[in-house]
Order: sequence, then C-alpha cells, then structure tokens
Amino acid sequence: MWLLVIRRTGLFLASLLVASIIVFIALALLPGDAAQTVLGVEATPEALERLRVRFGLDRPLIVQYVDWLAGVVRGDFGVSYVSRVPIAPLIGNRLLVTVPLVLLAMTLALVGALPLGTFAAARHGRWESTAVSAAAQVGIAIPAFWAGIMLIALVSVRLGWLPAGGFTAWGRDAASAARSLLLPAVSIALVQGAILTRYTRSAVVDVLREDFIRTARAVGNTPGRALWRHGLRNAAIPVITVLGLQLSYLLAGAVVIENVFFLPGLGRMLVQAIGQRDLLLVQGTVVVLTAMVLLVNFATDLAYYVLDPRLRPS
Amino acid sequence: MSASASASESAIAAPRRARNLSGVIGGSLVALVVVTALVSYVWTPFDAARIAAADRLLGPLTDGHLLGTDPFGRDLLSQIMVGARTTLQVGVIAVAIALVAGVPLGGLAAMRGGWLDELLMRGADVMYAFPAVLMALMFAAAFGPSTWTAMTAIGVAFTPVFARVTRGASLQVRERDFVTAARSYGRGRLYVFVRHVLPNISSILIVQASISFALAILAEAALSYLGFGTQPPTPSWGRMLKEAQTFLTLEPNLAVWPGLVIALAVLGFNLLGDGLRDALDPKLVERSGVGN
Repeated sequence: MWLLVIRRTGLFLASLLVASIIVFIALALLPGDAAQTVLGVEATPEALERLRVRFGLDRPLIVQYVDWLAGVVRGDFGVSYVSRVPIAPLIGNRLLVTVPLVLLAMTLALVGALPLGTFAAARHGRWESTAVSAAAQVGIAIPAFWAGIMLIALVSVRLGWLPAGGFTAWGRDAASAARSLLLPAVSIALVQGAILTRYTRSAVVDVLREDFIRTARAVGNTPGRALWRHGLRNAAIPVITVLGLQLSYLLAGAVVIENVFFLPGLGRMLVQAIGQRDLLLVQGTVVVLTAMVLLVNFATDLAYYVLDPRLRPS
Repeated sequence: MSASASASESAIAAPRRARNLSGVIGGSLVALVVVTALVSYVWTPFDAARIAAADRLLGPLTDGHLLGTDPFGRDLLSQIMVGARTTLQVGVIAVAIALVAGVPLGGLAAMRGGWLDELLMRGADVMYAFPAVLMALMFAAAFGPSTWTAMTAIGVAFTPVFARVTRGASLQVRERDFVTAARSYGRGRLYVFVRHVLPNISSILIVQASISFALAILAEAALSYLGFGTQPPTPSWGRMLKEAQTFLTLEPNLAVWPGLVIALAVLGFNLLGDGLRDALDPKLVERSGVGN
C-alpha cells in the first residue's frame, strides 16, 4: 500500500516537472522576446540588450529554466515584466477567488447531480429517467459562459437580486464576497451538474444489476435500502473518476467564467497577462493551474484505494 | 423465468430505440449547421459584414431583420449563418489534428507495448493536465490569437484522448484470432495495425470524433468570447456573445441567439455521437465525452 502511494507520488512529481518544461518551452518559442515586448518595436538594440541581461534572457534556455524552477520550488515565481511586481503574492491573492469559486461550483453540481442521477437510475426505463437524461444532454451542450450571461440578464439586470459582476475582498466583507461568487458558481454548476448526473445515473444503473444487490433484496432489504447500503459505495468509483476529470475542466471553465463576471481570479489574471504579453506571469499562472489539475488527478487515484479495498495490492 | 428474461430484454431495448432517436435528432441538427454554412456562401439575408449606423440595435422582425441587428447595425441572422462556417472549420481541423497525431501514437503504444507504451501513456497523462482552453490560451500567448492558433491548440489538447482510446481498443483487438493469424503469417506490426486493427476500432474512433467535435465547438466559442479565438471581422458565435454582453441591459435578445445556436450545434454532435455508438457497435458501453 505505502509503496504504491510513494510510486504514485513520484509519478505526480515527475508529471509536474514535465508539465513545467512544456509550459517553459512553449513560451520560449515565441517570436520576439520579453525585452522586445516591454520596450516596444522602436527600442534601440543597446537598450534591448541591457534589458535582456537584466531579465537574464541572455543566458542559455536550460540555465533560465533551472533558475526559474529553483525559484518556483522556493515559492518565488519571479517579477512581472510589465508591472514589476513579484508574481507569487499575485497568484496567491487570485487563488483566494478561484479556489472558492471552483469548490462552490463543484458542491452545487454534486448536490444537484447525485440525487437526480440516482433517482433517474432507480426509475430506469421509465419516462422520469428519460426526462432526466434528456435534460442532462441539453445541459451538457450549453456553454457555461452563455449560462453566465443569461443569468446576469435575468437575475442581475431584470430582477436585480445579485451583482452582475465584480468582487469585494474577503477581508472587507465576506458575505458580499460570497454573494459575488454565487452566480458564477451556478453558471458552472449547471453544466457540470448535467455531466455528473449522466455519469451518476449510468454508474447506479450498472450497480443495480449486480448480484450483491439482488442478494441484499433477497435477505429482506427494501430496494431503497439495498441501494443505500450496498449500491452507492460501489457506484462511487466511476463517479469519482469523472469528478476528478471534471475538476480539471472546471479550472479551465473558471478561466472563462471569471471573465464573464469580472472576478479577480487566476483566470482573469491569465487572460490579462496574455493580452499584455507578460510572459513570466503567464508562465507562473499556467504552471499553477496545471499543478492543480495534476494534484486533483493524484488525489482521485488515492481516493480509489480508500474507497475500494479490492484495488489495494496486498 | 422466461417472463422476467423478456422483461429485462425490453428494458434494454427501450433505451436503444431512444438512442436511435437521438442519432436522428443529432444528425438533423448537424445537417442543419452544415447546410446553413453552405447556404451562407451563396446567400445571406444581408451582407454579414455590412455596418449601418441607422440600423443599430433593431429588434427581431424589423425591416427584414429576422433576428434583429447588433450595435453596429449588422444583421444577426446573417452573422450567425456565416459564423457556422467558422464553427465547422474549427471542429474539422481540431479533430483531424487529434486523429492524425493521436491514432498512430495510440497504435504504436498498443502494438509495441513495454517501455514505449509506458512512456507514451505517461506522456498522455501529462498532456491531459492541459485542458483545451488552457492549451489554446498558451498558444495564443506564444503565437498570437487567431482561428488557426485556436484550432491547432484544441487539436493538440485532444490528441492524448485519441491516443488513449486507440490504445485501449487496439489492445482488445490485438488478442483476437485473426490478428494472431496475420502475425503468424509474418506480417509486420504496422501492416497488422493498418489492415486488421484499424478497421475494427474505427467505430470507436468515429464516436470519439463526434463527441470531440462538440467539445471543440465549445472551446472555440469560449476562446473567441475571451478574444483569443476568431478575430474580427470574421463572424464567430463566441465573439458575438462577447459583443452582446456589453449591451445586455439595452438588448438582451442579442445574447440569446448566438448562445442558442452554439448549444444546438453541440447538442447535435453529442447526440450524433450517442446514436452512432449504438448503430455501429451495440456492445460499446458509454465512455468519454467528459468535459466542457
């Protein structure tokens, strides 16, 4: 068991390293470097050269990478080319918006999808089940950012119940901060919930066909009790797999939704950094987002072993 | 006993009929998008790019504008029709890239096995950590935003999925007797893969392509909304939504139509994928199609 956890941890760290190399190379390939971006096209070659030396861009790529990585490991992501502000605290502040947003969205999606999917599975083959499936199919097709725009039009503009965008810092007014996250989270949750409903339904349908459910029924359990006691834990594995995959898409979805609602999260910062070609900031943000995705995958794998002892090697 | 057996058979048959229905609905929606794009080459109600200050923000059904006009006086329906071209182009190119890169890689992993398989699949895992939108934003930062950058990035982001699906399906086919027979004739791995394995996994790939097409449409719409996809003046459904959001208080109608057509196109390709899965291979269980 522990050997496996260590092996999986090693794999996680190796993936993280490879991902950071991919990001670094992708951004190093670009035509015209950071010095050019900062000084503009009319800069003199001498000024460009001076800035390159100051940024350390005159060194070989491998040295730049190792130097950057050594900083990242210590929690130092360097200094933004454009605003000349240290990047690490910027990312830290933005995470305080993105992480709660994603967690809230996931919670809302789960609260809706698990009962709905289980209900649809229990009514398998009847019209209720078909109706839930059809609704889920439509939900999956809706772009989350369009759902966001429509919610703004309805809830904020028409009804005036919630803010159409913007964010109050947690420290200033926590209740108001939570309120600004509500509509964005709902927009993401509608779509994610639809996907989760589908998978929950098919996972529970599969489990209901199992022998142990029949046995549980045979010894006198009601259908509901058989499902509750024996079914849900077994249906959890495929649902958690999807949940893990979904969380990574959720982070990407948050990038778009934060821009719909003008939330100062990681995604909005990424889009602004790309607009200003602030490459070191882009690099740091993408690496943090990717690390979060890999971390979720890692946690999903470990969750299997906790939930299903059969998967643990003896 | 026989009664319960036939009951369970009909319980299985019922959703299959429903699936065929979804295939028909999906196929019709996809056909509608394709026909719309084709018609837009020869006819649109107005010139999609025509800017007319006098016709700004007209409501639906005014002056021959079926869906109204945008803040620049451009006809909404004409823009949506021309936008269908962009949407289809993105889907086709992104899926083609993912197929061309992913299928050989997955095939190689399955046919060779061993350390190469391990290496390729761990590589796919790492690539999987970059969702399509994130990949495309990175590409946009490096190469500048354009439809081509977006399509390429989405294709690259989908490649590990196709590699994995190809590998998994090939591993199953590889154990079948006709493959063993071909191998015992002394046929090479490449020949066996192209001649015997590929035809047997094509249905899985077609289904995956249809679902990925839907995901590509969503990704491009999101990118164009952020301003890193299709650039003006080329009409794009995603960018129309961006422009509409500015006028949400004035004319919410502007944001309804582009979003609706994106949802219908995505729904079409998803349903088509479901229908094809059932028509091509009833043994296939639901898989993939995760994400947004």
